[in-house]
Amino acid sequence: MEKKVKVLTIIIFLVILFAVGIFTILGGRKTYSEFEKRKLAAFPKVTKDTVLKGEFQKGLDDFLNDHVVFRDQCVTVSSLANKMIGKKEQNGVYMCDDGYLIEKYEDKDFDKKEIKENVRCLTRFVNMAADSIGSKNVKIALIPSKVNALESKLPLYASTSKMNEYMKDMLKSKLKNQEVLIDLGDTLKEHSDEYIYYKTDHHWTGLGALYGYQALMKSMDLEMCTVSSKTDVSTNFRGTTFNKIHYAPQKDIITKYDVSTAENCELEYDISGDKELRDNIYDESALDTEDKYNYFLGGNYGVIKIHTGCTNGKSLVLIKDSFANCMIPYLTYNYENIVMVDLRYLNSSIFDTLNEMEQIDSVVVLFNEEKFMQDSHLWLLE
Amino acid sequence: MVFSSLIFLVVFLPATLLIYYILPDRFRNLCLLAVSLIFYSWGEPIYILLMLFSILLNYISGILITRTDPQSTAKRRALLIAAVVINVGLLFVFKYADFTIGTYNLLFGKHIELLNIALPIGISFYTFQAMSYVIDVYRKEVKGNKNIINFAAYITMFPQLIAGPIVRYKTVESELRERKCTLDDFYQGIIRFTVGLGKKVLIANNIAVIFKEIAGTSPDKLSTSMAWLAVLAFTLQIYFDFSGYSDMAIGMGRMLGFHFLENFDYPYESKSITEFWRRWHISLSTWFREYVYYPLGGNRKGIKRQLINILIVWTLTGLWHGASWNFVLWGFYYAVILILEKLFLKKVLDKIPNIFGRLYTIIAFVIGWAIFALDDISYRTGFVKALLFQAKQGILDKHTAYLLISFGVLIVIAIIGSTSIPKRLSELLLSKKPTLRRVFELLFVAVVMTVSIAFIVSDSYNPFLYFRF
Repeated sequence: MEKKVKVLTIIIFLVILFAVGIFTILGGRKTYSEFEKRKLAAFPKVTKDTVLKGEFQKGLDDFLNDHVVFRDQCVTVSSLANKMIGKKEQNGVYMCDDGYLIEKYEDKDFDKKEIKENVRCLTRFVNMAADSIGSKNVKIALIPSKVNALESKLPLYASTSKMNEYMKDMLKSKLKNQEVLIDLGDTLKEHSDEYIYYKTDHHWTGLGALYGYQALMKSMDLEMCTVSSKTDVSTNFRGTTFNKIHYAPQKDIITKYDVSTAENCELEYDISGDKELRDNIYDESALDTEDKYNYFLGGNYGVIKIHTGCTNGKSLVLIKDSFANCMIPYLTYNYENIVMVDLRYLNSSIFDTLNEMEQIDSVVVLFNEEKFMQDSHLWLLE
Repeated sequence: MVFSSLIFLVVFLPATLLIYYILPDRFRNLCLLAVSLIFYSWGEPIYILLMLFSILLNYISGILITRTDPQSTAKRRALLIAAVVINVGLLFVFKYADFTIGTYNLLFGKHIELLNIALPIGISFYTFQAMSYVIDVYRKEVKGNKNIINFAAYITMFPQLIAGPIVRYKTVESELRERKCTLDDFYQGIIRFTVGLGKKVLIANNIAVIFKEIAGTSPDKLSTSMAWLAVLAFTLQIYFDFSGYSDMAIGMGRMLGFHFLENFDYPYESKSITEFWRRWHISLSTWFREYVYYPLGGNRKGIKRQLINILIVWTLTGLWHGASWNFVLWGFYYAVILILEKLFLKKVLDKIPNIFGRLYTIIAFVIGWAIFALDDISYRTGFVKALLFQAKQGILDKHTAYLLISFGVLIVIAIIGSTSIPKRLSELLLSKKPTLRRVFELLFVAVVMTVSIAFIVSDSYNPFLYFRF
């Protein structure tokens, strides 16, 4: 009996060693990882030179690591094991008690020079806009990252970087009129026990965006839309933060908040210079993909011009990142025309777009604080 | 290649075992040599030439010394000295040249350019192995090996090539000629290998996160407790890393039919530093004892000479660990403690209850590791100040508390795992139930192998999420 168990152990050991390699060879070859959003390593070239320099060997390591069978499941096992022994973070993600996965960032993730430059470009542009259409109609609304807004959910004694405060202080000092800056941090922190951020994604939810919208409207003295009803369009959303650790105790719900003016919109997308017309701000097809947040406007594009169901003739220029996408439904209530500009995907000068517009009633800059500090496209506002 | 990489575990090792056992006995050393060279080519392929040169040098020296008339001592000695000088010379050029130049520049204010020679992986290990062979041939303890394939297989043998243990030639001499691997050998090899892999991947790699993070922290964010936590983490990390590697080496040796000597014997349980060094990296201290301490006269030439010998041997031991002054200091530190123990401390320790001896030893080796670790710390002066209660953040701080909460369980597991408690416990519970014991071992192999591979894969998982968020 004892000997049989021994033989079985030897067999198990050998099977584990051999099976991984064999299944990896038999398995299909992917070139792109949907979860990691990156190209996977290609099989290295075998030449005398690459072998002698060790490049082939290094390439083979990378290739195997990228293509090994059950790769994603391995990451799950590792995250689960770490959580089981009480570790609070994995791959830069805090695993918080009520299912929230919160990405952390540290001072060293930022370059103060870059922040200073971004602040300079933005404030110059905003000061100019405020001079021409009045500072009440120009707003910078900064959305805190989850780690800042949901600080109360973090593990005991977990530290957070205060770089965003540094950036906001600098913004204030450079703005001619302080009222231009709206700090959504305070608003969101008041609601931090509500479902204002996705548990598995870095974005805020429709509810978070609604609170942000309300704070924005209040500061601009505008009437707020009413939400007539809401529908859960997806209940199995797992977002970018999940992708980092391949583990999530709970899935997320994407909720659509119905606003009458958000129906029957006409949208004109600028996709790499080509115009494309759409008639729905919601992209139902995105719900069948991994990136379900793309349900809002189908993702990010350089310029999207929206003609809404509102008929007040007013126009809004929205300089934004992806956080703004789920606020659009509410904004349709206040503006007949919304021009969304995403500096990262812009194909032409933003000033061409602005000059084409017949009138501009408001300019709103809507960025996530963390990504604003790291963005390298702000110079386009010069 | 390192043992804890995917390519080693799922390609190299299974392929090696397969080829090795398909081939008839007489080709197995050749097989071992060939796969070991492939294994070595994962580092700096060009240094294979250096290793081959070393093999040739020592092979020829061994043959020449054997062939020389046993009576002509002078000629044999000249041959030995030549071989040792070339071996040490190679080690010096490739490991210590820049260190020497740097020290010279520092002392005399000169600016001689450094050579920037990359350290050939494993050179300290294989050079010492090769020297053990030549010296033992000279001492007539072994015969010169005429079969260059066998000899080359001994020097390059991949299980111990890059991280030891330093297997002396006489340990494996007969197995190099003829060995057989029984089912039980193979089985014990697997268990040992799995223990080692788990130590390295599941404990050492994870606890390394603590040291790595604190070692890179700027002095104004350090607290005294944080600095000491780093040292504690390093103490555990280096044991699990190094003894894990040795376990894997010994385990794989057994799978291939070799029986290497033990390299670690629960050193952290020692009751004195003298005992600690009999239980830590045993193959290295044995090597220095056999080939430096005894030839210098050991303890046979009076106490004064013995103390000087201790000082020499431990300074060299320190230097062996790396070309940096903190390693020399580390060796010197142990020399002083060993001398004190020899003079009176050991006698005192033997009289008082064991617990004091253990505590004293723990404090002594933890301070030792603090000196050792300085090499890898970004802001050394600030770190040393923090250790000595001069930290900017005071004694306690929030981040240390966070790290302790996050890693607490792992630290406790590691502390218990570094003692013989788990082994004694399993013997107490399972020694009378052999089948149950095997079932436990089966589960252990299945779980530890799977989870370790999962951890290795997950280390390479590198999401790039923000190009389109």
